[in-house]
Amino acid sequence: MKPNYLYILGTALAIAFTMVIAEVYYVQVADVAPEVNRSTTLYCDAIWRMPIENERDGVVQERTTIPVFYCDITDIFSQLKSPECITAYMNISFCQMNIRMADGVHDYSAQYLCTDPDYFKLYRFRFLEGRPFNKTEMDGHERVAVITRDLADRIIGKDQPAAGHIVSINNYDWRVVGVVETPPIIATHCSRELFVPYMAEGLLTATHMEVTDAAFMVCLSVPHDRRDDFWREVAEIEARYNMSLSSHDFPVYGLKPTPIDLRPSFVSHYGRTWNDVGNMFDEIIIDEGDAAGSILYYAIPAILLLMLVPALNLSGMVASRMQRRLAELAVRRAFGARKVRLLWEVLSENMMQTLIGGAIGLVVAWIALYMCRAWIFTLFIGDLASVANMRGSYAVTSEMFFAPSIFIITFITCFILNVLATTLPAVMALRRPIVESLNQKQ
Amino acid sequence: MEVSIKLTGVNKIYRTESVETQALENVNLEVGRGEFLSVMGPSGCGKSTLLNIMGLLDVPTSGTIELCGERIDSHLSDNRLATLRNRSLGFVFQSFHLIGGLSVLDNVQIPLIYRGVGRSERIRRAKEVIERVGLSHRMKHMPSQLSGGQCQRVAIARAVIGNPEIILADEPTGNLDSHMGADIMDLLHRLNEEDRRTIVMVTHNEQQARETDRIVKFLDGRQIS
Ligand SMILES: Nc1ncnc2c1ncn2[C@@H]1O[C@H](COP(=O)(O)OP(=O)(O)OP(=O)(O)O)[C@@H](O)[C@H]1O
Ligand SMILES: [Mg+2]
Repeated sequence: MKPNYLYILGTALAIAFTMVIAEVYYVQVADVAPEVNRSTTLYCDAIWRMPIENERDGVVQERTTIPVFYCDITDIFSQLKSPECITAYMNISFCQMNIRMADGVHDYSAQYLCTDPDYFKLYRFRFLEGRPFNKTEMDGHERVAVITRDLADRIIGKDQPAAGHIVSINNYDWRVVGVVETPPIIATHCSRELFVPYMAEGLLTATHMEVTDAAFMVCLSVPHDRRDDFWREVAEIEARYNMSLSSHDFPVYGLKPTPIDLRPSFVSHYGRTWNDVGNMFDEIIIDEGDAAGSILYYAIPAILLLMLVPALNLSGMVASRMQRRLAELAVRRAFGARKVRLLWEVLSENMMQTLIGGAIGLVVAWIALYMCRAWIFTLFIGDLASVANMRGSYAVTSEMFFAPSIFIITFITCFILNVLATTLPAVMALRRPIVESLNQKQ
Repeated sequence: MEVSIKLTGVNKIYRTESVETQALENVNLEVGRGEFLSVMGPSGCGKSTLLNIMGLLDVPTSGTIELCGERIDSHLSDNRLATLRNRSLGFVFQSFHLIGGLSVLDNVQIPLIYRGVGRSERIRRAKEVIERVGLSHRMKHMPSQLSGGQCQRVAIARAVIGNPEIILADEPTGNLDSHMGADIMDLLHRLNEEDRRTIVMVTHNEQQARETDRIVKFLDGRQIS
């Protein structure tokens, strides 16, 4: 039997197609350096507030969210004991950070992130030189910075050592304490080029802002075996906070402080990634499970739906070819072939062809991903505006391109489709008298 | 006389939604071992149906069949049927039914594959029978590269490679010109005489039929002589 090139090609394309889409999601949800803790990370950038009612007017203020402020970090999040790591970064850029270039004349406006020392514990940057800034520097309001190798190349010189350098940012002197490998663009919490402590003196001076005015993104790593403890703690803190509310009565963000609803304020990495898809399905986002699992749950149904049309076309073609094959099977039966053996031949042939198709598809997918990486890496990042603020590398690493379970699922799907298009008719034909398949129009 | 094929009270009824066709009606027929039998009759009288039932390619609606002394029962396993088809029967079809993707050599080997004969032995025997049908120079050809007569000779080689007791040929010369037809008839006669194979052949050709041991005639599913 000659290999069915049409089927192999079809399988290859179907697998390539699925793998590309799956990989697009995979790079966003899998543990990819420096975001190696994605599976355990919870985020909170706003806290849910309960509605306020009064007896006269009914509901006067709807249930709402209010951004996380510095006071929330100190009052609420600092009380949490169960997270492995808690860090926060300023969610809003108030101003540009203009760095004087090596020529001493021109400025470069860097994409930056104002954070705390624990940021480097949660996000595992690869330090090429120096170290992260530390708590002493943070508390001392020192102007210290960690920069990416790309930025170092730009402002200090290609491949020149940069740690220990003093650079001028917005006319203040800052000391470079570490140089990190440029993070990949898909690590949305990391893809900046300049990292500074948000307590640094002079950081906000020009904006007439205080650190207390800024909104924060809080990132916590809570391993799954500590989740129960974590949610218990959250409930306790929430209760305590709400109890104390009556005692202070100052406006927050123009709103009267209202009871907080802390638990729904946290969202997992998957939750953030799948938010849009989740809304589409009108479902609650799962917080547990692994990266590939979440793709299977959210993306695969949609992908399979998309694949249906080409798959039906393909199986139509495969099935018409199968007509000829059925006549051949009948001939073989007429000369003594047993049904089981013929079925096995058809099945193993399908398996071979699906395997070959799958292997080709995988290679095609990876080539496609490699060539289109700039587009693909930013394709489904929910907040397109933030893409503009991101600086990262488009390098492709092996950890990004390995989603065996997705390949296996796609492979099995193709195999099942193929079995439906070929083995099923074969089984039916084998149940009927030989003449019937023999004399079918060829 | 040893009996190769014995049909008793065989009926075959084709039922479709609207019509019911009685393709065979109470056929009782014995074919002796080593006999060369011709089946004749007008188109649609049930000749192919008869041959297919004898060749275990189709099942009768009622009646019994015995092949080489073995009674074919409805509860005979598929594997046993396959073995019988493989060892005792060799079918030659009017439209050849060679497998298009296989060479002459590979087509001829098919019955031996399902008998579990090793590859080198298969090839040796295939070459032998191909030589007997006079196609040694076409061994590596694909069926599409052969003439009709050559195809039918390949089909005959395939039917006899397993040394079956019975050869069933459904209009083996029907698609061939008279010259090629005569060739094929020669071949069948040689197989019958030299190897004492039982042959049942459907034909529309009086001349060919007269050269065989016995002629049975059918009309509307009934044997009339
Ligand atoms: N699968 C089938 N379904 C319904 N009727 C059938 C089927 N096969 C054959 N028949 C009918 O059974 C009868 C006998 O058919 P058969 O093929 O045995 O005829 P035949 O004698 O071989 O004719 P020919 O000389 O044209 O080959 C015909 O009337 C035919 O229409
Ligand atoms: Mg016929």
